[in-house]
Amino acid sequence: MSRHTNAKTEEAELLQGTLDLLILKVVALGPIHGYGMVQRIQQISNEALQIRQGSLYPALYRLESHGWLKAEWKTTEGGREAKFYSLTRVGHQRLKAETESWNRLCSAISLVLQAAE
Amino acid sequence: MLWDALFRRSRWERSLAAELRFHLEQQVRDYEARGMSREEAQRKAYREFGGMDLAKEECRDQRPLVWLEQALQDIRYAGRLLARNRTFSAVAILSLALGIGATTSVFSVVDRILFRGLPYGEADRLVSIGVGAPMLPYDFMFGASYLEFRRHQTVFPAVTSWSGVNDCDLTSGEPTRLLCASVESSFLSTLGVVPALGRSFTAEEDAPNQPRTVLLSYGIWQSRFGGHADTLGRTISVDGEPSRVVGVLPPDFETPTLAHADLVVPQRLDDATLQRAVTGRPLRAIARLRPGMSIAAAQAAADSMVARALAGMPAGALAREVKPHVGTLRDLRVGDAKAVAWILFGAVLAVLLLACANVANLQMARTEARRRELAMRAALGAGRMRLIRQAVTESLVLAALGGLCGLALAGVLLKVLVNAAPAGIPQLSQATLDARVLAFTLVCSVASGLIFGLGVRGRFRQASIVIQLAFSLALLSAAGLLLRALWRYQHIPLGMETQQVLTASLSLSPQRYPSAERRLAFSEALEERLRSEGMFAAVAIGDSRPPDVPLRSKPLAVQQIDGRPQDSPAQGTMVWRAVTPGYFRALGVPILKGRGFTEQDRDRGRNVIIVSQSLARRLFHDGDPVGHFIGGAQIVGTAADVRNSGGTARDDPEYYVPRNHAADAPIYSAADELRRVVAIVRTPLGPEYAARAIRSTVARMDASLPVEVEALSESAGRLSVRPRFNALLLGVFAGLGLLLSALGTYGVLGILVAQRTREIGIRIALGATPHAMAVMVLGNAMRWVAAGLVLGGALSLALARALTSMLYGMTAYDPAAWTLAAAVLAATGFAAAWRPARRAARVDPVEALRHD
Repeated sequence: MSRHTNAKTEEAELLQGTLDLLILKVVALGPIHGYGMVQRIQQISNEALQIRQGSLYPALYRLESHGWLKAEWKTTEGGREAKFYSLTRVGHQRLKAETESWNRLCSAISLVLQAAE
Repeated sequence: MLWDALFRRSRWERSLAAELRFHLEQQVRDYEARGMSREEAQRKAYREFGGMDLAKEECRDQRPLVWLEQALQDIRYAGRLLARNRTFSAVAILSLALGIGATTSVFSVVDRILFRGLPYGEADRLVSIGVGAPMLPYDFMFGASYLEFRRHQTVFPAVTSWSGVNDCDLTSGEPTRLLCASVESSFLSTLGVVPALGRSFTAEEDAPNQPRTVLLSYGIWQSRFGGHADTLGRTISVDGEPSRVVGVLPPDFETPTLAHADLVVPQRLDDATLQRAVTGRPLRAIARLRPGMSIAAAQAAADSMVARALAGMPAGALAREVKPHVGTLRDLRVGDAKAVAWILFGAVLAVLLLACANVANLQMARTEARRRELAMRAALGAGRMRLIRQAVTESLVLAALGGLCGLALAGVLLKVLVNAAPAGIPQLSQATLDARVLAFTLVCSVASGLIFGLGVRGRFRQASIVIQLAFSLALLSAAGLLLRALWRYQHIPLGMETQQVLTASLSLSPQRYPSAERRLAFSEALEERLRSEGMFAAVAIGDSRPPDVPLRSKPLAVQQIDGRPQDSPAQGTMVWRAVTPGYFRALGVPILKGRGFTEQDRDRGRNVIIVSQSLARRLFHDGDPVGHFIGGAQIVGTAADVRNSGGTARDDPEYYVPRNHAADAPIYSAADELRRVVAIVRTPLGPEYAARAIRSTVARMDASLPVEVEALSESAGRLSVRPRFNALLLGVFAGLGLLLSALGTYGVLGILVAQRTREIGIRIALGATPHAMAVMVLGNAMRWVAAGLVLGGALSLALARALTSMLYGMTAYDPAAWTLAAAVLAATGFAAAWRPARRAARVDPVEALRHD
């Protein structure tokens, strides 16, 4: 999927590193498979955030190798086998830390933006 | 996951595929649920997912330890490649091994001489201060000037002195000849040396007529006293005088000149004694600089002090002669080993350079040959990083193999060096392989391979072959020069007959033999007793024996001839020995003109001398010296030249004076004169038996006196040990360098021929003879050799100048050595090109045109 197709104005490009944060947050809500994560993120963000599906899985594998996520094959409601991800203890701490620093960053940026107006 | 990822690749892969499939199917199902046709849904789902293979590859890269897996893959691949290109691999590994092995072993040796820190506290702030004089090879001060200097200087926080290392005898238990360093009480503290046990001397103990105290070297403490702590406070007998052990030196202690010392004793010079010592025994002064003070500043301070001291004196020869010199302690201690060490170091760097150039060359040639393979792999999707990593891995595999072989070679070489080395190369026996150096050489070679493996190109390859050949020529000609010098040096006649001659050296301690009369009486009694043994054909007593350097020397220029100063003062130094009339007969030194000494020449008031032939020539040119006077002494004869350099330099002109029967004769006037006695006997008996006879004669006179008996042929044999070692070393390096350039030429030509197989095939198909093809390859090599000879000639000239001090008086511009070196290089170049040339001649045009 090329960049041009999802360059609609109402869809925000994901900042570097925010994908990890989104994944951690969504997984924190309960065990979920990759496809579910894409749906959930789009749903919660009112379709504003489009995940590049091709980059989701490398990110999942990276988080798993960091030990923040753990994965397990389970049966879905539809009766199919899917790989479900959940947060580890370290993952929870990581989410907390990342959320805090994200919030700090956001408030700092909005302060700057307000002052500049 | 870790387990699966590492050891269950297929299971891991299946899981990844299933996960991604699930994702897509779910998406398709959703789209179908929204009313799309199945095909439309599938198309849309795939499009939105993006590249499936790329995603998989990116997931794989996230696997833990994936780098390890890829590295193993790269290593396997590199191993296959190296095995396939056997010529390349063998040449590269051999080059690396030679370069790393030679460099590491030799550097391990010279490192201790040139670069290792001195075992003193803040050693870089220590300097030696003194005046230079033609007679002595070191800077010195006489007692009075040292006292003056110590009292009035304000520039240095600390100054101290010592009197060098001399023979001394441990007379308790079995008499043993040892080496004693005599030092001022402030010596150890100024140098920043703390005794391992006990303490240093106090200023009170460092005075005449005080009970003697002594510090043991760690080695002697261990070997003679078993390393027991209760050695402290014990009284031992040194030169027959009871001496209390007050301390033990640390294991790494060494004297500033690196002269070996078993004991450190006070030099026992108090201020009053120093004050009186206007001439006499020279002291060596050492000062500590203030932090941040430069050598130049210290030199300026020393200059102004000397200027002040001389202000009151009439301007004369003395004032012009006295030039203080300030040098670092490091310069002082490496002395004449330094030239050898630097030349070795240079030779080793040249060899390392050759090895690096070889590896670089080969890598370059290979990279060019593999251009197509690399392009193909890149086209098939290999990432740029992965390709680079592959190249790096290959170099590292080569380096590891070369390094291993090099390490083995270094171990062997170091052993050879240590065993072949003459005594007097400082600390050689302690040299061990230096890991830092090994790492350094390894990095150098790998880096050169890498840099050039990654695509530096152009005309460098030919240039580097030429440079290699040039360096080889320089090494070869240097080795040739040294070998020629060695050959000539060994063929200079000794000037004496060494067979059936024994010498016995002993040293009379001032305690047991306090006066010149007592010492002279001992040596005359020894002469008499040996004569009356009846088993010696000739007996002589001297104060030293050739080929060792005589104890005394004078500048040639100061001698008056027939009561007048010389018209054109001769340059250089002359040396002299005091001998009994039997000396010339015992050593078999021919008297060429006039006569030898007679017993009457030893009478009080007689003053005659015998000059060596070279001295006669220097002072009287072609005239007959007999009957002339040198100073107050009349020349009665001319003796043939005898080697007297001790094997370290060129021989000096020499003269002899008869050992006078009067202890107050002017020849005995210097302090400590008559202390050393050397008996020289010529005997028809077996050496063992004669040696025993001499020993028992001495023991009957003084049982506590250690005596060293040696066959003269043995001492004379030591003469050429040093030049032989130098020649051996440079010879080894020249051989290595030659081998490396031959390997380089061979390797590069081989790859060139392989690359040009197709071209050569076409040429042969078009009518060129195989012979012409071989000539083309050989011609290529010979052009390189020719360029190498020109460049190498210039290098050799520069190197030869640096070698002058090691050539023992031979000129560095020796056409034979140089022609030989050039011929060897040309022959080697030709030989290295031979096989590639033959391969070029054997190219089958049909085969070659089918070739890729």
